Parts: sequence; C-alpha cells; structure tokens
Amino acid sequence: MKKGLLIFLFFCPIYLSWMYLPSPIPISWDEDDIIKIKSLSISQLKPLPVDPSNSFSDNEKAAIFGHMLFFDKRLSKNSQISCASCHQPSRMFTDGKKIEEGLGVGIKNTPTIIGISFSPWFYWNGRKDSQWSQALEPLESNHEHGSNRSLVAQLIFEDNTYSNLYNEIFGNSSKNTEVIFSNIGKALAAYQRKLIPGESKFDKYVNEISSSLNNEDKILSYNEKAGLNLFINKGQCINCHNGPLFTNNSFHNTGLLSIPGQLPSLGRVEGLKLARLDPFNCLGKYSNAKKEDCQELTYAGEGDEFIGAHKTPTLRNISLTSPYMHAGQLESIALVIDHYNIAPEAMIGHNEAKPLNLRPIEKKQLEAFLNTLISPLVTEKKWLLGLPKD
Amino acid sequence: MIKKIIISIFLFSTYASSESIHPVLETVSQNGYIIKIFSEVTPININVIHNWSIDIRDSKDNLIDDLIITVNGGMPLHSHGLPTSPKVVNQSSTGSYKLEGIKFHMAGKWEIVMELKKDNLIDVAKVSFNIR
Ligand code: HEC
Ligand code: HEC
Repeated sequence: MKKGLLIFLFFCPIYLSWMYLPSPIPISWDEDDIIKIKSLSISQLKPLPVDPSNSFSDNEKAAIFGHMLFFDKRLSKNSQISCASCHQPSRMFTDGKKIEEGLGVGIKNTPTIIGISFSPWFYWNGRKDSQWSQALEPLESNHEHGSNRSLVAQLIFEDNTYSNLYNEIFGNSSKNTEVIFSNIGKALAAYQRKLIPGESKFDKYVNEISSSLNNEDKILSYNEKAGLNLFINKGQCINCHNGPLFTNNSFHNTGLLSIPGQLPSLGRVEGLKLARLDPFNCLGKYSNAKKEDCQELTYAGEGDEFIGAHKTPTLRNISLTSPYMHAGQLESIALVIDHYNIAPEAMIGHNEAKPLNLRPIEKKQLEAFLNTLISPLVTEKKWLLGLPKD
Repeated sequence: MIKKIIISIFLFSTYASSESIHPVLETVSQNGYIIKIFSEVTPININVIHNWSIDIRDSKDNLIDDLIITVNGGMPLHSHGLPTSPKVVNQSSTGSYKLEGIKFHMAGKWEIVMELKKDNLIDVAKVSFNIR
C-alpha cells in the first residue's frame, strides 16, 4: 500500500511535467527541417503572377479606381455597405464576426483578403476562378451590398470622377451592362492585388538562421520554436498550410461541424459546379484570357474527396482574424488546435486530418508559434485608408 | 480492387527528386513498354499547375504513339488523389504525349498512375517521386 503511494508520488510529477512543461532538450533543426522552414518564409513569395483573365490587373489607374470603389458605400442598396464594411483594414481585412453581416446575415465567415491574389480560386468553396469575377458577387448578393449591375453601372456614369476614370481606363466603347460590370470587378481586383503581407517575427527568425551557421538565435522563444517544430513535423500542418502564405490554396475536408440550424456546407463539389456555370469565369466572354490560360478551370479536380472540402486559408495574421473556419465555428486558436488534435469524423465526406495526440504543453507551443505570424502589410499606407468623402 | 493489386504486383517504380535538373522518371509498364515521363518545368514547385511529357517505346525502341492514356495519382501515405484532373493528349507530330494540368499541393511522396489503352487492351504503369 505504502509502496504504491510512493510510486505514485514519484511518477506523478514526472507525468505532469511531461504533459505540461516544455522539455529541457534544446531544439535543433536537421537539413530537412531547414528546407521546410525556409519554404514558409515570406522571402520565398514570388512576384504576383499576372491574371490573364484581367488585362487591367496591374493597371495603376484601375487600382486607384478600385480603391475608391472598395470603400464606397453607394455601391449598396441602402448606401451603408462597402467592401470595407466586412473587409476592414484595421482587422486585417476581416470583420471579427462569426458570420458576415451586410444588408442581412449571411452563412459564411469573412476571410482575410491579404495575399489572396496569389490564389487561383476564391471563396471558401472556390466558386470563383478570378478575383475580378469574385468582386461582382457581393455587389448583387442580398445579404451583402444588395445592389445590382444596372444600378452600379448607373452610379459610375452619374459620378464625374468615376466616369472620367472609367473612360480613361476602359475606354467608352461598350455600354453593355455586363461589360461595365465586369470592368468594375477588374478595377476592384487591381486594387486588392496591392494587399500583400510583409515580414513577421517568424520571417525574421528564418533570416537569422539562414545567415548564421551555428543556429544561434534569439528571435523566437523556446516555446515558439517548439511550436514551429510541431507545425512542420508531428502536427503536419505544413501539408496544407504550406509555402510563404501558409496555404496551398487547395480544398480539404477537415471535419468541421456545421453551425446549428445550417446544413453542412458541401464545399468544393458545389463550388466547382458554380464556377463552371459562371458567365464571368475564365472561359467566358468577359474574360481576357485565352483558352489555354484557363488551366485551373479546365483541369479542376473532381470526386468524392471534394465533398465538404473548403479552401485552406492563409495563417499569416491568424491571431488577428478570429473567429475561425468557414462558418466561424471555432472562436480561438486554442479551439482550432483542439479540433485538429481530435480530428473528428466529418458530417459529410471524410476528414483528411488524422488525430495528433498533442500534449497540453505542445498545444500551447503550437499556438505560440501561430502567434509569431503577424505580418504587417507591405502595402503603402494610402491604399489602406478610406477616401475623404466617406 | 483487383486492378489495384495488379498495379502493385507488376509495377516498377523509380525515385527521383525535384532537386535534379531534369528529373526524367523511367518505368516499365505491365506489358513491357518503356516509359519516360518528365515535368516540362523544373524544379517542380508545389501548388503550380503545369504540364509533363510522356515518351513510350517498346523493347525495340519503337515509339508507341497511338495509345489512349488516362492519368490518376496521389499521395499514398495521405490517401488522397491529385488536386487536379490532368488529361493526356497525343502529339502525333513528335510521337510523344503531353500530360496537361497536373499539380501537387503538398510536399512529400507522390505517384502518377497511367492507364494505357489500345483496342480494348489495358496496360498500366506507375511512377513515384518526391516533391519538396
Ligand atoms: C457583408 C460582408 C461582406 C461584404 C460587404 C463583402 N465581403 Fe468579401 N467576403 C465576405 C465573406 C463572408 C466571404 C466568404 C464567403 C464565401 O466563401 O462563401 C468573402 C469573400 C471574399 C473574397 C474571397 C476570399 C477568399 O479567401 O477566397 C474576396 C476577394 C472578397 N470577399 C472581396 C470583396 C470585395 C471586393 C467586396 C466588395 C465588392 C466584398 N468582398 C464585400 C464578406 C463580405
Ligand atoms: C488537410 C489539410 C490541412 C491540414 C493538415 C491542416 N489544415 Fe488548417 N485548415 C485547412 C482548411 C481546409 C481550413 C479551412 C477549413 C474550413 O473552414 O472548412 C483550415 C483552417 C485552419 C485555421 C483557421 C483559419 C481561418 O482563417 O479561419 C487554422 C488556425 C488552422 N487551419 C491551423 C492549422 C494547424 C495549426 C494545423 C496543424 C495542426 C493545420 N491547420 C493542419 C487545411 C488543413
């Protein structure tokens, strides 16, 4: 009896410290780790590729026009909603809400749009294949701007600044409403392409380990480094959250519950169907692309794997963009990590992630690492502010 | 199922990594064709859609250019397929085939499985390789 108690007293602290305290062993990276770590660095970000479906994607005047439109509340039915109402610059272009609220309450969480121009697909379910065609949907959606293409076109030509800019950029050859509407999308896209993330604490750490051979560094704490190790190894987060933007821009089912009162979101299977039917897609007549430029749409993946699959979001600035997941299901990073740790069966389709068996201390460390990803924009300040007349 | 077993029994797989400048993967199909397959861009970057070339010869080095090829693949260790649905087109002018619209969305071990069809005869071949 007494012996049992002694054994208990001996092992209990060992067990507790194993679960809750950082291990005393220093972290060192092997060659493979270093390759993975560097692949996540912002210095690996390539120049933004041109969007062949949008001839105005890198037109500076179009960006200026798009900037005005992005903040202009007159583009809504009640003149109270602009893109920036939900994609707020002060919140890394999110709104802090579980579910979006414009003219009405929607069904999805507002994602950040920083760095999104690198993605071939837009929306959680990828129902848009270009940034300009994405920009058209909120203008007409009842729970967002609630306007329509004719009203938007009318506004452009009633406002002198707008009509002059419009004519300068696009010429005034076509008065077709759909052409004008798609040009407005193209200007909004040109503006959003300016929103690029910069260096985070993590990136500074990568610079330092790249320049000093002895791996000596002070930028990340022990727990942050331990969290990075979990991110690239045991946690397997890097499988999907890969590259300098921490996303593969592909679609995965991660076994999330739908929010009460909603059917589970079908995700990519539905998104791809919609993208193919969209008159504003890459192959449509409002696109500037040649057929062979539309590889993503032409060769999009299909099959059961895409049931309930949603687009992997970036993890840059993640600590500033709660709540999380396509319907804001999880309110904190800690809850997201718990979710991956358990990897529950999916409601529809099946969960690609496997249970992780992370100890409590490891979950804390992973969270500490995600908190090092605050990446202030490299974008010039003027682009982040609304316009004087708002 | 049976097809899967046949594939795993008969196939050779070759390893190459994206570090080499021209990673030409070579394999022999179930019916003995010699297949060379390689990416048209090197190194292969994850998350970028691109094309590959396929060259198929018999044991006497004659080009075989009249097959209908369908491609599948994925990551065996993660039990998922390719993120895209690539298609193979015959390029009768050069005798080779072009595999269009392939993409890898994770680092790790990938497989490409080719089904080669001619007059209702089905042959299969597989290559495995590592993407970093
Ligand atoms: C009422 C809030 C709201 C307004 C207004 C709004 N958005 Fe969004 N935005 C969202 C939500 C929610 C999503 C995700 C919806 C989904 O995936 O189904 C989204 C998605 C996006 C995406 C895709 C992001 C990704 O990860 O693929 C872009 C780009 C975007 N919005 C730009 C705009 C632009 C441009 C406007 C103005 C024309 C705008 N938004 C207006 C809430 C809003
Ligand atoms: C199989 C691919 C995959 C893996 C592995 C994966 N994720 Fe995700 N992650 C996703 C997808 C897809 C979403 C969006 C899911 C949704 O809303 O339906 C997501 C969402 C998130 C979010 C919320 C982002 C937001 O803006 O709402 C965080 C945080 C996150 N993942 C962190 C992690 C961490 C940490 C790991 C490792 C433990 C991990 N992920 C592993 C694919 C993956």
